[in-house]
Amino acid sequence: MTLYVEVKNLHKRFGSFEASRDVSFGIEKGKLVGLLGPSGSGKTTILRMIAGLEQPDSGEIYIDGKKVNDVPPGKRGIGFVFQSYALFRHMTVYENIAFGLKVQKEDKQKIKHRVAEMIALIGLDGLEKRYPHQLSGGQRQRVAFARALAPNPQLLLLDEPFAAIDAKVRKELRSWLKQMIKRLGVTSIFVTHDQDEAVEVADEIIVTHQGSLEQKGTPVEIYKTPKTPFVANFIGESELIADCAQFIAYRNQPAGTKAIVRPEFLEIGKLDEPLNHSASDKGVVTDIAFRGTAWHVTVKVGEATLTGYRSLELSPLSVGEQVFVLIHRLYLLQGNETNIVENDLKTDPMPVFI
Amino acid sequence: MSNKKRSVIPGFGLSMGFTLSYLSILILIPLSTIFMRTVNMGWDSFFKTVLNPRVLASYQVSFGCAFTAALTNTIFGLIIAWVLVRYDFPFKRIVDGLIDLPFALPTAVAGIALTTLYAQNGWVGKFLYAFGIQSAYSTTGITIALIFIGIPFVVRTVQPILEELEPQVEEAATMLGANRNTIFLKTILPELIPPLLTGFALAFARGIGEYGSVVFISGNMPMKTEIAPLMIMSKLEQYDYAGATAIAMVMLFISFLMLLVINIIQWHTNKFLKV
Amino acid sequence: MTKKSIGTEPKLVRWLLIGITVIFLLLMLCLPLMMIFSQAFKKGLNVYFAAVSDKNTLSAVQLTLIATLIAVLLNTIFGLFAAWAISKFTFKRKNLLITLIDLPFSISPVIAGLVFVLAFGRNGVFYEFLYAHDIKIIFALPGIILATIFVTFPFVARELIPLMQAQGTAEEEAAASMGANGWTIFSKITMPNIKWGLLYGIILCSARAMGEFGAVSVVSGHIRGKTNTLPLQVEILYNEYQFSAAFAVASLLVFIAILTLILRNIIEWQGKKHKG
Repeated sequence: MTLYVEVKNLHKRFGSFEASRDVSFGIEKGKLVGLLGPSGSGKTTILRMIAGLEQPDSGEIYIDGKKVNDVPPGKRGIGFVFQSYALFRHMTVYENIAFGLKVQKEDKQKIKHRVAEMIALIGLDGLEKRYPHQLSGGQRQRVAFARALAPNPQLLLLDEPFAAIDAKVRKELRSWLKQMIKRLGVTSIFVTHDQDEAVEVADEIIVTHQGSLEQKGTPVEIYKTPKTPFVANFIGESELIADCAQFIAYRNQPAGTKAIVRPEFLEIGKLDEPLNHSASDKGVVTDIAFRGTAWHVTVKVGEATLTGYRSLELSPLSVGEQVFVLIHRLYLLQGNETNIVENDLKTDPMPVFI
Repeated sequence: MSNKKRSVIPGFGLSMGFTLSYLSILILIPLSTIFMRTVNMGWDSFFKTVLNPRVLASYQVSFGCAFTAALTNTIFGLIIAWVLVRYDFPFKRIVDGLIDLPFALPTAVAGIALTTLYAQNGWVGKFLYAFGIQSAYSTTGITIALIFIGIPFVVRTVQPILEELEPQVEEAATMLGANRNTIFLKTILPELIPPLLTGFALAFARGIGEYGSVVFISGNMPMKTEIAPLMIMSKLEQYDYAGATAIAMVMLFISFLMLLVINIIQWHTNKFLKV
Repeated sequence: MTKKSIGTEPKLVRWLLIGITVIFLLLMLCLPLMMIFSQAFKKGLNVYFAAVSDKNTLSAVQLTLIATLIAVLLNTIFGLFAAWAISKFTFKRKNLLITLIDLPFSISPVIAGLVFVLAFGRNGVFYEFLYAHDIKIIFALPGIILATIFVTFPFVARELIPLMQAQGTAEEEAAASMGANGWTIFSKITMPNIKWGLLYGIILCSARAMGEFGAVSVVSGHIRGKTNTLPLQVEILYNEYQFSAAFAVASLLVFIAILTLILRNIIEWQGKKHKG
């Protein structure tokens, strides 16, 4: 396993704002990595430091084994796709894509050939002479992509590549981009604040929060075994429980232990349904909402309010009804760590699918 | 002019009516007297006045100095706008506010101040005359006055465009390996050419017509430093209304041409501004 | 986050450009300003105040103020109507109308004066009529006012049009749909949004009106104590080699100019604050 990009102990502050604190990670060659975090979490700063558009206050950046801290941005072999594309608006599609090759003084024939290749790749044949203002948002995005890739970079960085596109085109463009990157095999890092996007597109996700790296892993790892309270809370739907010892299955936890629960960890059943009653708590339904594929049921259990799904196939619940709530597992928040605890009262041999 | 979309807001008829009447009575009808007079005077006498050597010389002085001043202002205006937008330095706000001085300062006041400053014994003139530069009572002096008058036009047209340029575009060029010179020439300058041309045209148009700041420093020597507006003035003093009208007609023509140029530039840029 | 941290010029180039800017502005703008005050006070405060309180100067001040007041008032009313028509309604040839409003900017002030001489002066279209009724326009106050209006015509409208266009019509339409009449809409909805821009337009218009030289020079006839405005008084004193007096009177106009610039900055700052 060779690391293509490696950053070590990156620090960066803007005035009193700490954009990066001690960020370290490595990315393997050919991987498509998503930098995920809420806005202001420092993800774009990390991307810009790798590109050389910002200088870190301290820390090292290696690309292909070479330290690049002092290499100017244009010489790092990086293609960069900007959030608003930053196309040169007085240049045609052709000139935009050719720009990087021209400043590198490539041979004219070669430029022509390469640009034609890129235009074919992004499927904009016939639009070479158009100006950016004559293109749709999705087409501009493709041109920005082609422009970044034309000089054949070994690393592609994308800053919120889908943020400026309307929702309908976005989905289509996401899978197009993923396919394209996989086909070219170029190592890529993209920044996003949208977890669906990260989960759908990335091989690996790096979650950042307040300038720090919270967790790095495959989408499934991030989802199933969040390592920090932030990740547990940020990824997926989640609810914070102030004291998990109130639930029967977790009575052995110290009082006041905080926990995070996801809707899919819950099973909600009528009093007469065959649910493992000894492992469940009793609660009262306070709200029921139809969400297309399932009922979203809100239940009050003691002091806590929990939300779970209930299949449309089962007989519907009503507000005020007493129910059993089976909590299959919880993420316990213990300091800066998160640990998963299973419901240990479930002796029921029936397998449970979540 | 018709109200295409019916609007719920009242007052279209009143405001449009007032606007058009006021505009017509105070600007358009008075201006049209120049055209009518020109037509009435006949082409013969028109060309006789306009092609008079002294008048031709005054056009040459006016256009020549206005052109040189506008060109100088285009270069310095670009530098000043660039510095004001991109760099930080002490007293920047005051410097920025000062740019509008020529807009606010009466032209006659500017005229006598510049004359005193650039005359042979003036604070600046002293040094220039020592190097053999006759900075007052010459076309150089006229050009200096027109530079003073024109500088805000270029700065104030270029500045907002420069402010709105997206830093990302320059970063994109950087990522593609372009150096500072290439970035400036290929990505920034093309964006600035329309406002620079507009600023140039505005400064040039103003320079041709400028009177107050120029008459003092020009020295008004026939065939040498007489400007076109001064020719109108002296024709009027001799009650030669036809002569004054003919000269004014030519200047008006140039003004309209400049307006047309400016409008074409604006229209052309607006097309590209959508991205 | 900082706007940009890369992509700036080397330090040397940066300071060179700043240096050019400072020297250029010093030579072209600061020195003339300092020159005026230095000349005005050269012969002491007594000479200064004597020049400023001279009979002819005072009557010039009076004439200038009257002409300015009337011209600015009319141009302000026009500016409001024109901006209302242009920004709140759609109609054909709107750009042509805007260009026509801008027209006086690109016309020589001397021509501005000339057109009124052609209309009302000897030989003028209306001369017979005016002569018969003993109405004096040229070489009299009405001519000065007309010339001033012509030259300062676009200022208020030009400030208001972009401002009101940017604000759109939604608020006015909402008020109209609730049954407000035109005056209520204007005074309660539009006016609070444009007051700073309007104020600046009026100030700029006033400064230019007071300082107008070329156009007024053509129509005034230079009658001392009667049709001399402040800038004309400056010219006369200067041409009579009374330099200190000329600069003293000029300094009055400079104060107004500087006040205009300061107000401009305050208003700009206020406008930004109110926008958000």
